[in-house]
Amino acid sequence: MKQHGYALLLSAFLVGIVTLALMPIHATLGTSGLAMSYLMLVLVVSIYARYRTALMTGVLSFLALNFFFVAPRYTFQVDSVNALLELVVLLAVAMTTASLTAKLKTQTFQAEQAKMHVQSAQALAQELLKLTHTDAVLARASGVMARVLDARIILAQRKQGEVTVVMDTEASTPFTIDLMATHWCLDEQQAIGPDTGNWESFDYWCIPLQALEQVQMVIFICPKQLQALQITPLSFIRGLVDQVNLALELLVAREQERLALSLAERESVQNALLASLSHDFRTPLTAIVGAASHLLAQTAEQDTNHRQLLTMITEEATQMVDDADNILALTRVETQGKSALSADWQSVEELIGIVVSRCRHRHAQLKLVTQVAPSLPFIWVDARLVIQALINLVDNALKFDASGSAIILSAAQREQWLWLSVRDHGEGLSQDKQSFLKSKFSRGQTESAQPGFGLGLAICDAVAQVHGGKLVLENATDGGLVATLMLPVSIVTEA
Amino acid sequence: MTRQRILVVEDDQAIRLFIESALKSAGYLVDSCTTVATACAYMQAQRPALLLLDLGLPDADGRTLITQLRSRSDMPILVLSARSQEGDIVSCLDLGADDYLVKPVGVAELLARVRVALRHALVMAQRDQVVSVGELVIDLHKGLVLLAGVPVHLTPKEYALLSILAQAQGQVITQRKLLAQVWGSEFVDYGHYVRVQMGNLRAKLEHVAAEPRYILTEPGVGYRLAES
Repeated sequence: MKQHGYALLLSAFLVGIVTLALMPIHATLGTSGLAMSYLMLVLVVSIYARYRTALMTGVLSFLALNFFFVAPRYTFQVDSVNALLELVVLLAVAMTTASLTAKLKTQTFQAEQAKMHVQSAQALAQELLKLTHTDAVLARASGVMARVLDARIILAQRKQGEVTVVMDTEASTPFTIDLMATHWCLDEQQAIGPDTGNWESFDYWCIPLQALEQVQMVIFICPKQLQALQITPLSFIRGLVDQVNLALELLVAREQERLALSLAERESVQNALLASLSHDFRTPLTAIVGAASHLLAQTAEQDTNHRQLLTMITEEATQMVDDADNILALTRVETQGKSALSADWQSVEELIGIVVSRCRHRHAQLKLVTQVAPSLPFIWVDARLVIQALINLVDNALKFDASGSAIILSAAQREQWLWLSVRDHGEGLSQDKQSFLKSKFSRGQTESAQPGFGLGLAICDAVAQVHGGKLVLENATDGGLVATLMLPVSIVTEA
Repeated sequence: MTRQRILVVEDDQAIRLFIESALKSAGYLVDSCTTVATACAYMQAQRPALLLLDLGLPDADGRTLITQLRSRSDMPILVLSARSQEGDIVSCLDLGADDYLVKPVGVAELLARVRVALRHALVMAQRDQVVSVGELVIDLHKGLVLLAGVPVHLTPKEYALLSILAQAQGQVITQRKLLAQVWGSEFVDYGHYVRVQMGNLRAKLEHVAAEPRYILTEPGVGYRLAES
């Protein structure tokens, strides 16, 4: 009411002055001139003063013109229709002028405020961009928001159901967090407070920070002046919070990128190391195998003793190369998992063919029978690894089958699995030995004359697993062991 | 017949020793050097019948030598590699090497490959028209394939693949080369196309498809037609 009083007083004062000024010249101006003068006043007032002052000035101008100048003067009566019309037009134009000007002023104000909001959000984003740590981002964001919004900013975190304040721009003043609101805000991932549609009677806002996936955090914005609750647009506050979220997301992304880079770096160092290790193993062994096989070719047929020794050197050295290959393959598969694979669509028949030819090449007397089911599907595998695993299985069968009967290498599809089996006619396995056998470096017989590091089954198991399959060892019903590499038939390819 | 000269480029002394000795006792003349630079210098003065090249040389990658040599000569190149990665081998073959050997390698295998490479260099001019291995006879001139004297009906793709292998009997042909020649250069990455056709070919030509005697697979590299 008090404000209305001031407005009335001001407009009365201004209308009075104008009326006094018009007194001496009213005859010359005529009614329209007078009306124009009053309109001028209304316009000036509506530009510089509030809307209600302008309105009152309009009404008072209408009354003053009527009372002081329209005949009969010094009464509120009007004796001609013409004059009445002029008065009504004056009133209408004054009202329109006042409201149009007021609207213009509001729009200008809003535009300026919007500009200020955008600038603050940009400034906030710029500041946060430079920071490299989550805590630093949160601290700076709280500081900036407190200043821009003239509000107290509190960050609260929920860990295992417990809500704790992690940051407060006015830590010295006590503040009780509404726990129910906080939990609701975090569970629903929605903002709370005026204009949000949730808990609108609150005198603060509570908005969840969504960027940090592992951390549940909300930001409280408590304006110092209650008026700010009505006039600060929610979109502005959300805009600022979005900037904070963006900055945090960027940090998370940068961190992930850094991790991925360091992982790739580690892998490439490891690959280089493995490759050079492989090279270092092979070079001297090549010389040994080459020299021995050359000498063997030079040695006369009848010199069986020398021939045996040279054959042994060749075979043992070749075995060492295989062992080195196994260790390298196992290391690669175990440390790098799927990324170590260079997979492609492979024909099962072809893989078996390679295994057979490699095994025959190594063991001239090998009795090997293949049983490959017709029209098997192609499988998405790393050919080298699967070949290596199957050769290991055949080698194993050879080592532990003293019966001398043929080893059976078979391939068949059973539902979504491809069974690549190697079957011998040896003693088979006792149940408790199966899992033990698969662990690295373990051997069927602890002290045995059989060569090899006992890596064979471990690499088979690792190869099966990295392809999403498994190694199954079981005794055949009619004696002997069946070692099966089970590989999934359809793996969704990752290009 | 004059003895053929072979240049061995290998930096490991022990390996070089056995290769030289094995080749000499097989009747070849052998020169050797240890770096790409000395090999280049040697090549300016001499023209050996075959180059046996190790890839991991101290001064440069052996592949640079293949590129240089292929720009001016058809001399057969055999790559000797300690690298088990097929990628290196394939890139050498694509650059123009004729065949490869992965360490460790036995003398018998080494000599067999050398023989095949030299024979191919010899018959380059007068192309062999009839190729045979075991019971399989491929008449490239008539476009006929006989198995134990009986004609085998092949589809155009199957015949195209087989004839490419037959023209280079005993030598490896990379999968990419087969794809480029039979399907076209835009198909070089469609390895399974070749595998499907090879499966069909083997079903028609081999006794037991899983134990091929004629069409041999070099895993990750390509295929070769077996030697008689």
